[in-house]
Amino acid sequence: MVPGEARNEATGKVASQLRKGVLEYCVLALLRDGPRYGVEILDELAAVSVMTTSQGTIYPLLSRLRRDGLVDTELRESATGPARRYYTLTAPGRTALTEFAESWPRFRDGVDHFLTAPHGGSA
Amino acid sequence: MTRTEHPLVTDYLTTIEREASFLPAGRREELLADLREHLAVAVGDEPDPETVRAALERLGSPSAIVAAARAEEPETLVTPAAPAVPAAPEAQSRSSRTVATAVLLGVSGVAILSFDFAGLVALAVGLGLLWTSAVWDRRTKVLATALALATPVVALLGAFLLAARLGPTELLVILALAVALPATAAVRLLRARPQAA
Repeated sequence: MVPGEARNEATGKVASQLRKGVLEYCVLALLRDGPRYGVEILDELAAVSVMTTSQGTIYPLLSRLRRDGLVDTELRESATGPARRYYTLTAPGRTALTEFAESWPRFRDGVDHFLTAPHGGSA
Repeated sequence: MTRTEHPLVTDYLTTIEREASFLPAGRREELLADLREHLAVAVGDEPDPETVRAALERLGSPSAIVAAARAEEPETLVTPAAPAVPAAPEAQSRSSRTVATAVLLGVSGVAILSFDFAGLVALAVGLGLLWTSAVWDRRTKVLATALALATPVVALLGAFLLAARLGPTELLVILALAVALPATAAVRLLRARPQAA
C-alpha cells in the first residue's frame, strides 16, 4: 500500500473519535443563518478536511437531530431539479448550539493546557 | 423520484437496506429515502456512470453508513442485553430462583424418604441451582450441600444399620433428621440472601 498508510489510519482513528463529539454541533452551526438542504450541508462539511467523513454517514446524524427536535425538515420543490429536503434550526437546536459554543472554548483551552504544559510543571 | 434509478444506485441502496435490517422499518426507510434524495440531487438529470460512481464514492461504503446509523440508535434498540435496563428483572428472577433453590433443597429430605426418585431429582436440581448461583458465597454453598446431602446418607445408613430392628423410634429419628437437616439448609440460604444480593 502507500507509505504512511498506518499513520494515516491512526490519525484517522483520533479524528473519528473527536469528530463524534463535535460533528452535530458543526451541523447545527451550519444552519444558524438559515435552512440548508442535505447536499449543501455535506459539501460544507467536506470542505473542512477534519470534518470529512463518508458523506452518507451524516444522514443518520441528521435523522437523529430531527428526532431530538434540534432541527426540522421541509421538502421544497426546486426549479432546476428534484425536490430538496431543507433542514432548519429549531429553538431547542439553537439553545444546544449556544451551549456548545459557550463550552467549546473552555474545553479547547483545557485540552491545550495538558498538551502544552511543560513536563513536571504545575499550574 | 419520477425518473428511473441508475442500476448502480439500486445496487447500492439494496446493499444498505440489507445490512440495515436491524433498524426499525421506519428508520431504515427514512435512511434510504434520504440517500435516494441525496443521489437525485447530487447526480442530476443525466446520470452517466462516472458521475454516479463518483457520487456513490463520496457517500461512502454501505457498511460505513449502516455503522453510523447503528451508532445513532439508542443502545437498547440495537443490543437488547444492555446492562442498565434489565437490572430490575434480573434481580427479581434471581430472588425467585433463590427461593426455588431453598425450597427444592428443603423438601428434598422428606421427598427422598417418601418417593425416592422425585426426591433425588429435587436434590440434584436444587444443588445445581445452588452451585451455579452467584448469590451465595462458597461457605454457604458447602454448608447447604452438606446439610442437604446428609438426608440420603442418614436414610441409607439408617436403613442399612438398623434394618434388623427398625422400630418406630428409629423411624421417627430418621424422619426428624430428614426434615430438619434440609430445612436448616433452606433457612440458611434464605437468610443469607439479603446480605449477598
